[in-house]
Amino acid sequence: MRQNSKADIVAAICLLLVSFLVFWISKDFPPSKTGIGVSTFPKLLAGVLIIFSTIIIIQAIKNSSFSKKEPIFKEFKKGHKLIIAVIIILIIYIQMLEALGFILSSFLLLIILMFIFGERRKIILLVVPLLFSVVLYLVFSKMAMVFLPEGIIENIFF
Amino acid sequence: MINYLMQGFLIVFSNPINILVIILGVGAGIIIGAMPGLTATMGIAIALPLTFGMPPEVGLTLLISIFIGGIHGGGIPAILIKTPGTPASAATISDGFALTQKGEASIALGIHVFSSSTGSFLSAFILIFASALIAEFALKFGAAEYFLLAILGLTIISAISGESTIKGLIAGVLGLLLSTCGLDPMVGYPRFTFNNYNLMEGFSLVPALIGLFAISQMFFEIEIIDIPIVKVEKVKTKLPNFSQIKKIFPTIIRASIIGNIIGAIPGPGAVLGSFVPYQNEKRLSKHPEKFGHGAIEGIAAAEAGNNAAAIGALIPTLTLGIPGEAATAVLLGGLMILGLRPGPLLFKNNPEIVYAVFASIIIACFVLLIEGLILAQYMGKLITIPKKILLPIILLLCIVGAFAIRRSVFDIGIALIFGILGYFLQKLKFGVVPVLLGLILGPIAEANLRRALIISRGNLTIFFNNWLDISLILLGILSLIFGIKLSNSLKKISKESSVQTN
Repeated sequence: MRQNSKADIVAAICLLLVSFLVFWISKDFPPSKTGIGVSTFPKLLAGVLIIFSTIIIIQAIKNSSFSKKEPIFKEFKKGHKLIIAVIIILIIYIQMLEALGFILSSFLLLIILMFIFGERRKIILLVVPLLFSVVLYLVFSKMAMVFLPEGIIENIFF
Repeated sequence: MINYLMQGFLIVFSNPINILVIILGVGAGIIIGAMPGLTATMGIAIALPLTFGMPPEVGLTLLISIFIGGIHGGGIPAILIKTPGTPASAATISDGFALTQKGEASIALGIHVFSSSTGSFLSAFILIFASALIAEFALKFGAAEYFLLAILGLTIISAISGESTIKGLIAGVLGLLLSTCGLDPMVGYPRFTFNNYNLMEGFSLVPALIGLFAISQMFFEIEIIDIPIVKVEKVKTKLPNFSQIKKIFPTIIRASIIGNIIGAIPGPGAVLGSFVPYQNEKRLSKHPEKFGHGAIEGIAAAEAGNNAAAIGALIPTLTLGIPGEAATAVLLGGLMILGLRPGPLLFKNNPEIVYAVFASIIIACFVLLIEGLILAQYMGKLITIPKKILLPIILLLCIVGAFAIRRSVFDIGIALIFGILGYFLQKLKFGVVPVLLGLILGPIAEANLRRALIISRGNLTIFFNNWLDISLILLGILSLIFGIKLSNSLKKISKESSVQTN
């Protein structure tokens, strides 16, 4: 089989944890007289998830010969490091967005992303982020009436 | 029906905005589809926030125009640089790129535009007739049957979306579970909100959808960002001449019908919609040896087929609320956001919207022919835009889209989390379409289930005490088994044909 059994087991264990968490949280939900209440549907789904995840684990154990050394994720390539970097940058962006305003934070976001993706030409690193952060702001805030967060730059220029 | 369709055309032509939306949608679709790595599904997801506030028929027309343009656009890089812009165009590569290597890219592009638009046009008529028939039949359904139908749809899609039935079902259950976050539908108790005000209404659909279908796709592109991009020389498009049209016309008709039917079956979608007609034409041809070496019938079959399949996929989506694959699942989300409830009721309550959209689809086929001819010449430049510049811009568009619906920075975070979830679900071959369907159907399913059980005081036999319900459940189980068998055999066909054509 070409499927990666160890990754499947890790995924199934995560799903089991989620299901148990659902059971644990929903025990505090208000009970109902009929027995069909707030917690019924989530518990039902979590129960089904536990059964299915267990099947996945059993299938994965059956399919794989554990003597072979099979890494959980095939290899940790440069691409994966980039994805983690992007996620961290986006989290920081979300934190800064309200304070800095859309144009400044998006300008910085585009520069940093283009730089870590390997763009080194200074003119492109400046012009493309400037163009897109300003144009998107104008299109959404002034034309589509989706008011993007405003900061110093928006207040001075627009 | 003809009357309704005429009214539809009247509605579309009475407002120039409608035509403008078709032109913009098809154009944007072609560009998005042509850029390797950006798919029609992603385009629809990012465009969703724009439809907010539009009249429903205009918003829906925009999304469907992007879909049609996107499936067409995918064939352009398949012909020019041997890379399909969307998976649906993989079958175009063998003959399209062969012609490019012979220096006849302009002929290949011309055949491509002609077959795409003719295929869409023929398939649109099948869509209109089939939808009217199915909707009329489904009008006999009551509320209980709608509920069972929704669950049936979720089960079928789940069963065939993942690498295995069980994985797809897990994705579906996960979607349902995610939908329980927020105030519960009956008594308003906050569930799994972790005292966070932003989660009171649960996960908003648009950020979740952008995360699952656009941001996750970005992660896949970032993973392979180092692959260098091929340079393309400038080409002109040349419409096929009369003898060529005579040669490919029977092919287009056959490919459109086959493509439409395959597209209408939930599961296989546009990818098989191009491979199966391609193999069929190769089998019927007097010169099968020419296929793979620049046969124009090959391009015609693949491109008429995948566009016909895209439109065929609208049949179950609109009439029954059961989307066949990712693009139509996102479209279903779009319908909900526009305040429309897909399914037979849509035809009963809003026939004017449905037929205005049908009329728009027919107009879009003509627009596709014209825009495809014009845009293809500039695509050579556009498809060579480096990923390191393109991806950050698309990511920013995803961010704005996630923010736009509720003006909420929190929703950007939701989109990011769903993006990561979608990445892992696709990496491990669970599929993301069932997650979205579960999210959409969850609240409806739970409310109906609880209402029924409260009436029966917790007695489960309420679901079996009516012959209609029992026969629907039986029908559900049968179609589930049939669906799994069918999808497995179709998967096998597609694997074989992709091996053969490569």
